[in-house]
Amino acid sequence: MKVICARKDLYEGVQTAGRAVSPRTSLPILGHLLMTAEEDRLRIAATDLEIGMECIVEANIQEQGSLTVPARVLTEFLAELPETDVTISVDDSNTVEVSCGTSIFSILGLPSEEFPMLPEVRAEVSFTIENVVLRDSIKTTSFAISQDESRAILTGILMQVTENGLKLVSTDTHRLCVQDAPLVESLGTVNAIVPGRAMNEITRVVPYGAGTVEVKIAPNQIMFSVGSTTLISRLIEGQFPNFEKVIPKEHNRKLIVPTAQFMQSVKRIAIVARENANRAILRTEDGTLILTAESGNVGRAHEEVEVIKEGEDVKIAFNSKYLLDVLSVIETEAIEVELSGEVSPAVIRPQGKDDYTYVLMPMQME
Amino acid sequence: MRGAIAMNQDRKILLVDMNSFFASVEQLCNPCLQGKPVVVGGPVGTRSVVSAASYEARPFGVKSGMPMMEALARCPELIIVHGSMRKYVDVSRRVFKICGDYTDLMEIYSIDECFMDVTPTMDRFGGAWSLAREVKRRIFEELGLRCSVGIGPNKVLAKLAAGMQKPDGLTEIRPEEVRCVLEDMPVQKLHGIGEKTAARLRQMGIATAGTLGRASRARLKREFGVLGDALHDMGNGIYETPVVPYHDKADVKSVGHSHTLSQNTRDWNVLSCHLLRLSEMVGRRLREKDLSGRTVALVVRYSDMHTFSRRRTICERLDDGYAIYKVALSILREQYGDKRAIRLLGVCVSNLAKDSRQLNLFADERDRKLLDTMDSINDKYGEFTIKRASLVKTERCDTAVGFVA
Repeated sequence: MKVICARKDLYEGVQTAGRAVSPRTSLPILGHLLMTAEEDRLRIAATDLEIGMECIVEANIQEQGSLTVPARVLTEFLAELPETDVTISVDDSNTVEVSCGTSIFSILGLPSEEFPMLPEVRAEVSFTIENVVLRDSIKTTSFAISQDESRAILTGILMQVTENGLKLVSTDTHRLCVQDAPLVESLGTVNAIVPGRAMNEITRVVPYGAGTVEVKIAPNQIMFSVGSTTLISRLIEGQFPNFEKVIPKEHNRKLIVPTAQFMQSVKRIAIVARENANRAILRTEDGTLILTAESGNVGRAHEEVEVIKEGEDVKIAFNSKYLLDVLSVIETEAIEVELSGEVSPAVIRPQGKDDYTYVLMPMQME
Repeated sequence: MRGAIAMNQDRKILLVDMNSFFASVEQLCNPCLQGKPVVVGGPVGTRSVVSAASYEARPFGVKSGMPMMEALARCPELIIVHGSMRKYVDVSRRVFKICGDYTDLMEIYSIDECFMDVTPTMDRFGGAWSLAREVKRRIFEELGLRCSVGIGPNKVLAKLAAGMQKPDGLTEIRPEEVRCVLEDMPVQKLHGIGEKTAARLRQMGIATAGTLGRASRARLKREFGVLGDALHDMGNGIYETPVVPYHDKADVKSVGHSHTLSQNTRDWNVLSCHLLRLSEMVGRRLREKDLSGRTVALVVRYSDMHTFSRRRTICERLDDGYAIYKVALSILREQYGDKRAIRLLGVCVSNLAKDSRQLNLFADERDRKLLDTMDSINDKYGEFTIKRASLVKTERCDTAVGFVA
């Protein structure tokens, strides 16, 4: 195999695909990139057996074929090369030669047959979603993914594809995010739990500009295609908890709170609250929301925010980190907080929008 | 002078020792028992021993730690009362509260003993002696209980002094009296010297504290290592370990309970019942302290005294006795292969963290409410007033030993 490729294109492809390389692996081949030269393009692939990433790079193919090369070494080398064409070739002993002007780099590769095949995704369900919609929807849900590996199901985001669109759901059992998103087009319906890591990786690949992402879902895998990049991930098997059951259907108190001001107050409160399991107490006195936090080691904090209140005064404790998480992804000027009691879940929504729901379980008062 | 005594002459340490505590509390609660030989302990015919004997029982030779059968043989009219730990803990707290009025430097040593460093406060009460009298007076007037108080320049001597006059004693060992007191004192009377150390010392020809003080440091160090220094000092009445108030103590690292069964058994139903009871006790203590833990350890002692302990760490934090039981039971099931009869079971939870009290969206709050309700009933009416039906038939567990490490 022998290809000639612009350094910039090659470097981008290597960096993107390289995200699927596992940094610590007992299988040396998983630290390698697979490069395959076909007719007029170069495919660069990597996998850690959980997710697989493939990039297609335009190249001048001198000789078709394939090779593997250690991802890290190649990435570092490319980073230092000037902006010109790079030639990559391999000999029979799997030694990869990367040359650029007078720089020649010979790297030991591995036989490309050793590289695990990326699975073919036999799609049963597919949809197309706008870049910005997918990116935003992941942003508003991924922070509530559980980090507890012992409950694997909660380390992913539930993707519900219906005739009406896409629903993304995440929970760590203390809070729940539900984001509805419109689809450009869709075929079939499915519930799939996508590992949080795959979701986070895809947001790095999806460009900021206009455009769409194509998603295909098979019983065990999901495939995202965006531009020249493809990400394949296994799905998490199992039953996602019945999230609809825990979304309160009614409330008896409601606050409308200015987002930015509330967030600033919570940030300050959190400095004290972090010493006390992040506990922040919220109470209202007529039109004022008073936030307090106390810690034996640090002291006390007190903040006031003017709010609009419906119903009686409230007093409730929340984990201040969980409040900050949601406040930092809500973009409307105000939020609506619906409450029913000091040990009942609260619902937080961006004011005037019904496509996002954050259900937050309080902390016990004392 | 050889081995100059570096004793802090100004320190005054008190040891308050409640006399025959459990038995006295029982006599206090039930006037019919007053003036009679009373012991607290489990029923006769079981493995139970005397936990405490009233002063009326002592002339018969009845002592703590004696098997109940023997106690009864020595004193046929002995009244046996089943102890109630809750009662003792409650009274004990009241005693310590009174002691705490006289100094912040109070170390709770056991349920019926505490050390008080009164050095900084005694002048306000007219000196250590009158402070001690005041403490004794209040404990008697407010609680109706007698205690022996020892005063000394350190904990060892205070403990020694308290033991010199019982019941209702007040004894001071002054710095200048230390040599004289220690001269013929058997070494095992010194606080911190157990039987094994005493036996080793006797082999070296050291039987009294006086001889211990005169033995060369080097010789003691050769025999006991770093402990040799401490022993030498103790023989000279030097023991500078401070009184450590409770709130300065390190955080609780584990919570556990163990129980010696009344009869060795290999009966799975009996074993699992006991395991459940111990687990419930551990759960309750954890909740009381707002703690939950991820590591459950099971201790099993077979009839031949062979003991093993296995632990398992799980992902969830536990403070519910039943959940702890399920983990402990699974360990027992895996480890208990040879079907030897079991004598003792213990359950311990470690890897603890303060409960953040973050509520769970998906938790079945009914379980939590049930636990909270059971806790408040048991708080008010005593442990195991309300319990799982499977525990109805288990024997009393009041003699179980609780430990917090």
